Amino acid sequence: MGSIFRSEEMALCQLFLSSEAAYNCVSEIGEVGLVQFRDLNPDVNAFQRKFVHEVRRCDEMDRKLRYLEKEILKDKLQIIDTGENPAAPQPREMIDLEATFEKLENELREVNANAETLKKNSLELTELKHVLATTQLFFQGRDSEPNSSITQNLLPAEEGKGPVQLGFVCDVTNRERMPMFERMLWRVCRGNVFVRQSEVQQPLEDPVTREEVFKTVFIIFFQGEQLKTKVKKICEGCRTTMYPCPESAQERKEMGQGVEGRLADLRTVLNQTTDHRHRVLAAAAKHLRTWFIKVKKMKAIYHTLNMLNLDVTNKCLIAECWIPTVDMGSIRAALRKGTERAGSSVQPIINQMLTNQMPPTFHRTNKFTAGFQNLIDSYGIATYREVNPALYTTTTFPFLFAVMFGDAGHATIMLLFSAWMVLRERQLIAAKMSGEIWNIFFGGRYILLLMSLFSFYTGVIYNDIFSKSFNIFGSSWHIGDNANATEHNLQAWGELTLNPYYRDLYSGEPYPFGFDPIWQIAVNKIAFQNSYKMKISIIIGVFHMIFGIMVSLINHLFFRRFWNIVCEFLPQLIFLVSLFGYLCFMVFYKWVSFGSGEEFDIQHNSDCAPSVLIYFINMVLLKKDKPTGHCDVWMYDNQFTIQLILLVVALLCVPIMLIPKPFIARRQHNQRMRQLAVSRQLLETQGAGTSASSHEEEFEFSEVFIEQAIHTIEFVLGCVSHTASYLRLWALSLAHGQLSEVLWNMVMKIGLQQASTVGCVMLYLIFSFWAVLTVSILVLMEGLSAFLHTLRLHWVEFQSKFYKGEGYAFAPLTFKNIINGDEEEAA
Amino acid sequence: MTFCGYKFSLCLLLISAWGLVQLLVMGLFFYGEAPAFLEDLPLEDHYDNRDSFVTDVNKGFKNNAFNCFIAACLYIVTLGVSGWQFYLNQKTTYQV
Repeated sequence: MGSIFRSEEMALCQLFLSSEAAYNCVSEIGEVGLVQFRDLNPDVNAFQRKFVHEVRRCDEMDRKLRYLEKEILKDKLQIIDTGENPAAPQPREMIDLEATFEKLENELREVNANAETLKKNSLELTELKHVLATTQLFFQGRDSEPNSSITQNLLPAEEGKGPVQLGFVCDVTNRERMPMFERMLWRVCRGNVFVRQSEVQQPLEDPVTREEVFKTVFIIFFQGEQLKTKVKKICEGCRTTMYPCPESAQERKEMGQGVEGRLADLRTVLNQTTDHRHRVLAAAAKHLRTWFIKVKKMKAIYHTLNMLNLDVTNKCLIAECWIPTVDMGSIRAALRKGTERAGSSVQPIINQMLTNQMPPTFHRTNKFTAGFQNLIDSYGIATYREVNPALYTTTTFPFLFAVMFGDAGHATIMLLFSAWMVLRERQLIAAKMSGEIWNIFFGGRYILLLMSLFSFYTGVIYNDIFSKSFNIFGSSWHIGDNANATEHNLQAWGELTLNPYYRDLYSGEPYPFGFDPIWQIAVNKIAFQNSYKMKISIIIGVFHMIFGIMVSLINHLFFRRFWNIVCEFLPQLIFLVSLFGYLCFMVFYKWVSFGSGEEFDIQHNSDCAPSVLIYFINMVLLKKDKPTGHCDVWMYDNQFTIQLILLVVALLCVPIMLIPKPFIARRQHNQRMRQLAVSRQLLETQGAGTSASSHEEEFEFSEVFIEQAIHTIEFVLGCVSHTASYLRLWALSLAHGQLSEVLWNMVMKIGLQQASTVGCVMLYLIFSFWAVLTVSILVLMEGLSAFLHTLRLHWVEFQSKFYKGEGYAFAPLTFKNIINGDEEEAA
Repeated sequence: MTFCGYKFSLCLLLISAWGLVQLLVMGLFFYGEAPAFLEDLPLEDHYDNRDSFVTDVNKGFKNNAFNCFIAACLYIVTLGVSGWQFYLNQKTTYQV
């Protein structure tokens, strides 16, 4: 019977699948998701496995789909998620899928290549257009003088030499390159060239990188052929693009018009190409998710098939798998369905095997318990069939958190947040929000909900809402005659002390539920609350640890380790109870028998209340205190004798924990060895072959003894240290209360103590500031801190009493991750 | 029309809702002269006689009560503005 109390019973089974039906059967098993296959070919290289080709083809398809996905996302199209769960396609459909993907990929690549070429052409034409426009400007200035020409020399020609010809080239380059280019030109040509540049105002799109760059147009004027070659080489070297530019204005105008025409044509073609690409991608986007799921399922099935062994007759595949025994029926049904789908007549066979290997640990969880199970599994997976701490963690975790976080106001904030997450969980899961922090919060929404509910309760007990207390039932403290609260006294004392001895100051009946509201404004609030919180921390801690030891008893009974009950459980329990259980008893006794007022006699009044801690220390040191004044030395009669007996009993438990177990273990081992030898002798005399028994167990007595010593020391010292460790419940709740109070006094009070007329506006602003600090510091930071400490208390103090945590997790072949679109792949 | 982003308007919306509720409750408690709020009143450091102290306490309670109520009203306005901004931001994000 499966439950969250302990992990499920697992059976190691052999599956015999016929070769035709194997694929479909594995597919159906994957849909059920409750079978963990063992790798029967661990030494085989990945490239030598039987279905390596199919896996490779699936990988190819996956790659093509990822390429498609990238292109779809680049175009900002949405991939539709219909939520349907397509079954894994038959092996023969793989070819069709491959053909479809190949066609789509090729088409897309072609379209992309064309678009790139078109964009490059369009870029060149645009640059040419700018060049023409800019040169127009350059030459316009010159053309205003009608008779001058660029080829006319500025200097008067010397006799004998022909007219000087000035040549020019037009280039376009990136704006960032300009200074470097100019400088190089100047240096190489020794200053004999003249450059005029003009920046292009609008940015142009670079076709390869698809980003926008700014460019500059410039003209270089030079004289002579050598300079021309030099200039051309430099332009090529600096990777500028050269454009031919006609000299006369008429030619330039014609060229400009030609460019405009070609640019317009190119633009239309480009638009059509992008439209076509968009349509192809949109059609693919509708099916993309289904295809992904199909391909991933196929891959998972082939990976699993690779783990199976081929039978000698080559007709069937053998699998070894772990199945929860309660699910045998559903697995058989899945196998039948798979065989029917494959149309095979050979029924698959499940054969349960007996084995000594430790099965995997499988906890069946639902959405509520999964969070708590995760917390426990993070520390260590439970040993097979060990009691699962997660069951108790569902209550003790929020409770211990709440003891540290007790503030009803902060709890309300957390409650609203977690309740929103829980009530809207279906929409939030469908929204598939990304972000690791959000996923952590959302995954723990039930934990948060419980934590906030419990924290609200402890907030009401501590009577603390944003560091203010609520007076619902009427405080038990009043100012009566015995307070002597005259004006003269108040001015002299500054503080008023209310002595609970007098019934007109303290009514004698405590506040019905939680702390009296007067403590929030009392000066000695911390001293009073400290005593209470420390004591309940110890009491809660001791009870938690005793509970842990009780759970170990259940484990011992289940695993039939009866000697452990005598050698471990009993001495541990008696040790803990006789020392720390007695401490708790003393606390309770003191609470009941001592008090303030006339109902208690003089030895049981507040000035005679003993210190429980001193009693405890004296108990261990066997010290007797001297009587002081009218107070008793002891709380009750024969206290010294009883304490002595408890101490002796506790000390006697230590050798019982330490010594018997190694001897018993050795005796059991020797018995087992003798039985094994006898059975082997019998088999040999009967003529059977050597049995396939496990190897000889070794038994090192010294090792076992040392291990037992370590466990004993760990437990004994752990008792003391863990009990003190539970005091963090007090420490964190004190810190939380004080932080909350400081935040109110330092921030909110400023807004409230405004005497001016704009006090309301100040209050308005300061409230939001206080609210942000409350959420960030007190809810988030303190919440995280209390969460961490609670987790530590569970992992170390509670679980060290019984938890072994040496199992390994159940990792079934399941398609659930694939359907949810998880990033991780089922290996 | 949107001068706040999506996240900022959401934060402002939540804080104004919280502020509205909490300041209303605080205003009511100040008006009812709850002793828990005694230390939050604007009082002098030293009083010579009892009557001036009592008068100041009463005045302080009433003033703070009205301050809280007015601040709550300001938060109603902020709630409206941030709600409107949040609604506009929601519409634009849907139109992707």
